[in-house]
Amino acid sequence: MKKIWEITLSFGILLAIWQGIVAIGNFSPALLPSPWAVGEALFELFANGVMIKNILVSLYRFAMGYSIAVAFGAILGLVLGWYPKLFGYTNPILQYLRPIAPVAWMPFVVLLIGIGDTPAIVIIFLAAFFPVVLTTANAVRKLDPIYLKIAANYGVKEPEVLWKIVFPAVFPQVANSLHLALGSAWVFLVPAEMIGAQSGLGYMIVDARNNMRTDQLLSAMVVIGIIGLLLDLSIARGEKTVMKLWE
Amino acid sequence: MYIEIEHAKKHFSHPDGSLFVALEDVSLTIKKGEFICLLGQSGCGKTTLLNVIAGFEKLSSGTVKIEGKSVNKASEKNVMIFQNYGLLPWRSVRRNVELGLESGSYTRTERRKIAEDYLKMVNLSDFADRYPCSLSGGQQQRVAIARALAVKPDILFMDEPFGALDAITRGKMQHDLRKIVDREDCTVIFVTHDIDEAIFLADRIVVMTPNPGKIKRIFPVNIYQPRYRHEPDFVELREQILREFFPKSDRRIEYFI
Ligand SMILES: Nc1ncnc2c1ncn2[C@@H]1O[C@H](COP(=O)(O)OP(=O)(O)OP(=O)(O)O)[C@@H](O)[C@H]1O
Ligand SMILES: [Mg+2]
Repeated sequence: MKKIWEITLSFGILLAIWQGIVAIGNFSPALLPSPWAVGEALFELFANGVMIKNILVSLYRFAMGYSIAVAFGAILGLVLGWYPKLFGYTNPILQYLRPIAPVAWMPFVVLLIGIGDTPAIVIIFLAAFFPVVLTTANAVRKLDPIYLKIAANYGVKEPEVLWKIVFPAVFPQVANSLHLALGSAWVFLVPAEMIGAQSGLGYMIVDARNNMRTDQLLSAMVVIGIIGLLLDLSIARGEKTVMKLWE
Repeated sequence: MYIEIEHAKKHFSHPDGSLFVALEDVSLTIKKGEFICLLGQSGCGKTTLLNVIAGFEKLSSGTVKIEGKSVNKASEKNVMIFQNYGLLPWRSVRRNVELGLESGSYTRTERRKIAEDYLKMVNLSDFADRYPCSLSGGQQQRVAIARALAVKPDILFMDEPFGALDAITRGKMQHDLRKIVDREDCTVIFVTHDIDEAIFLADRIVVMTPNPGKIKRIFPVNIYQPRYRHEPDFVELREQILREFFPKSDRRIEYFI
């Protein structure tokens, strides 16, 4: 109850500051719309179905890119962590590629594949893949040796040891990286769709700018923020469920 | 003999290239069903010797044989209870106890039944669905014992298992352990640095000394079970062992122990 009150209050303050700037700043309403105007634009965009359509498109791309990244990242991370030699060869490449912002690949991807769903999926994949694979590999490498002794002692054999011992042992760290990756991947959805797509929430921002509809632009931003929050909440739930699964 | 250790030598190489001798020419034979205590001060190679017999570490030279076969890796028949219990934190107590049964030919219900039997034996039936992190040290230790016994091991290795327990719990655990292993008929190699604990539990006490780690003397314990700390034989043996650690010159030290 206290939490809901805190959240309401903090968003109330945010809206008040916004409204204050609009009132004092004396900007043209076309450049800086009031919260009320954005509310109206939001209502309009939901009513005519444009918003829903774009949300679904964006969520689809995000789900594809993120889940492929998680599946590949976790599996590759397990394998690399388990075989130190392989890690030795692969780690330099991963470390080299990681700091290159995912968006930098964009022109390349668009030239090769063309605009549409794929470039955005690729960018989201890149944004989520590196943290997941590196955290997983490092967690496996630093696995407490006692777990492996126990596995050997109680007859847990080679392939089984991965899902009975190694994966649950590293899961808390991996879950943490999934959580972080989710946030950063969602951040990269917008630039990806701004450049490489003709639909989605990121494209809405470009489109609104081109039409000088700052109220619609801010509407898209509001929705992006809310979805980001909801994703974050749902993965926290998911973590708890999976933790139970290993039990 | 059941377990034969001959001229076992183990050294560790330090990063600076020097060699550290952890075990120097250790020879020991153990009968089936015997309860052996390895007794000695810190750093005398007790854990190392245990790890070598259990197959977790390789000797630098010499041999360890169990039933005539050289030991070169850990086996499901010889189970180690680690100093820090080694429970899997993501599994409930029940599923921890079931761990060693999963590679066997048991069905789900059989596994469950066996786990329940052993949890009952260590008085933890009510804790089956709890997680290790919510148990006290002594309870975790008992789960580890139940998990080890559930696979019906031939040999049970225990590395200072009761070191972290309070005196009362420890006394009770010693009593229970001896009763359980007698019933289950398994061979036990038990590391401790508590002389009374060794006398209370062991059939034979192997006294080790450090630098380099070796066996100084072996004491047979010919006292009927159950043993009492104040009976004359117990007190006499304690005196003998203390004398082994403290030659006449510094007899006064023993009063501080
Ligand atoms: N992996 C290792 N590398 C280098 N030296 C080691 C290693 N393991 C043990 N030693 C050394 O070997 C000696 C014996 O160690 P060990 O753990 O067997 O002693 P311990 O008798 O079990 O002592 P404690 O009662 O403190 O547990 C110690 O001096 C220790 O420093
Ligand atoms: Mg030790």
